Amino acid sequence: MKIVDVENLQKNYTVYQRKGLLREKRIIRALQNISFTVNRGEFLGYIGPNGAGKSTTIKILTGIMTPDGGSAIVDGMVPYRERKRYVRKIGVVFGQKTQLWWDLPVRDTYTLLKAIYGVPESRFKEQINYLSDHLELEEIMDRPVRQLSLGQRMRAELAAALVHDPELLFLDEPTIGLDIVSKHRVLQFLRELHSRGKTIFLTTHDLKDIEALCQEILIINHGSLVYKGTLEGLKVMVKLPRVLRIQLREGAFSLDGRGAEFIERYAARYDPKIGIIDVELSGAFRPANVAREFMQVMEIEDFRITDPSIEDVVRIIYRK
Amino acid sequence: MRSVIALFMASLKAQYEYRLNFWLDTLINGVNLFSDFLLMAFLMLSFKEIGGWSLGEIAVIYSIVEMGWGIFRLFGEGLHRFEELMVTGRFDLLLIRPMNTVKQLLLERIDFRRLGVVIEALAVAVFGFTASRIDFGDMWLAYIVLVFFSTVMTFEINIILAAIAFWTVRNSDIIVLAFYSTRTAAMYPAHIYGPVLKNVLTFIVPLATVAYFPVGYLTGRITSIIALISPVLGVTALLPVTVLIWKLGLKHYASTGT
Repeated sequence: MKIVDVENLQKNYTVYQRKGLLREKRIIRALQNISFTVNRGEFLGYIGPNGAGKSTTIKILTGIMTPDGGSAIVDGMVPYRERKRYVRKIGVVFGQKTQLWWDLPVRDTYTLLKAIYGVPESRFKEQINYLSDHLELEEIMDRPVRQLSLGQRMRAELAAALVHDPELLFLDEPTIGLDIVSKHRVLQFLRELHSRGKTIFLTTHDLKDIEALCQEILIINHGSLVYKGTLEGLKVMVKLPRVLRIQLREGAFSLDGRGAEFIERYAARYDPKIGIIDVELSGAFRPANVAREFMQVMEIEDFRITDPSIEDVVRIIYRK
Repeated sequence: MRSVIALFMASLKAQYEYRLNFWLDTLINGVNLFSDFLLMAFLMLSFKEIGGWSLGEIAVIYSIVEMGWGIFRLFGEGLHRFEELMVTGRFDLLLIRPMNTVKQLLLERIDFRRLGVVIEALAVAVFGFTASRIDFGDMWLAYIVLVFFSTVMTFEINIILAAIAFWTVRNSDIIVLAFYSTRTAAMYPAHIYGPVLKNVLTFIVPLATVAYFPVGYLTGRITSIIALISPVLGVTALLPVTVLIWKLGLKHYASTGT
């Protein structure tokens, strides 16, 4: 069942560039006919390089911005037409901007949001307990926001977006700048939310986050959608080869004629300074065969086969 | 309504966080204003009158304009610093909450230190009424009504000026030009100025309609009845303009996101 339905979304920005004394008008096409749907309960990762149109999409879906063409229907509403009704149904975290009251204890932000959203006292208590348990907020509840570390603040921030217990969450870079421990906590919590049936729309630059959480990914580049599907599907689509890495024994880095011939035959890369040979295992090259042949002509210390990383896969997509 | 009270209390509490700073600021504000007041009183006492208006009468219009400003600053800090929200993009956060944006701005930061301005304005009014020997009873009622209109108008003007930042991002210079200067001008009888400034104060930034014209009528210096009802006319005329410009600004923001 669809919760987000985006069709042919378009957005242009007009920028003025100074050229000598004149100002030159230039149109930037931030979104060009983007269409996608998100099902209820889906955990969707939304990625793309800087300036690809991620923020624009989020702003339209959260009701902040009006598109120039196309339509977006979320939970049966048009976000930018019925803003006040719509935002009651969603939770939003902008990793770069805080929505907490800076000078007040964390708890007060929640009380304020409770009043703004009109959350009944009993539901509020229940929700705060739940959030406090899962995000470990107890120790920071009574501290002013300005005294929190980035990791603590981000946990508080997530809780603030959930005071009214929305079904749909938009998270824009919620792990930006976090250390490993804080990040792990945040990701753990997102997984918990997802298991409770929440729909989560996550944008991030960190592909490891995506790998750890999202079943579905959406890739945008130059304002157009380049991929929508599973991560596995993406790897298949890009078809990056696995790599066999051969470490030569210390002192045996200089190759003889046969060695050089091998390198050429397998189109391998060789770095004689550190004695590492990388062979791409595409098509006809079977790892065992390649390894055996190399072992016959060189003195080898170690082998390793690596799968293409998600970073490599995405880098290729971005370059297109 | 509950959310309004909650936000009001939060502002109060946030300022209490910086107690020392709060009291120091209030003190400095008070001293500052008192010196303004002394300067005016000194000038007035040596002139005795400006444009035929007595010292006390001028103090009354001064006070009406100043009081409107003081009450505005009490609630209008968010509007006054609106460009910060534009520059940092924090205005987005107001849009993701189910509440009117102007309401959120007014409650974002209630600046209790501005009570100093309110007290100063009140002191000037007392001085004005005493010095001009205007009949107290009726005049206080009129004063309260005029302060109400002055406050509403100050809000209207400042909402319009804040909305300009939707297009220009920065607007502090425009505020100085369009509001600070006219506010100061409106504290003195408008007929002492040339026709251009007088018309600006009557029709464009119509602060003269909430102080100079009605007070002039009440003291018998202006005879036209229009002068008496001019606060209603000014405030009412400005209202649709305010709403329209704010809405257009929101629309522009939604389409550009800057």
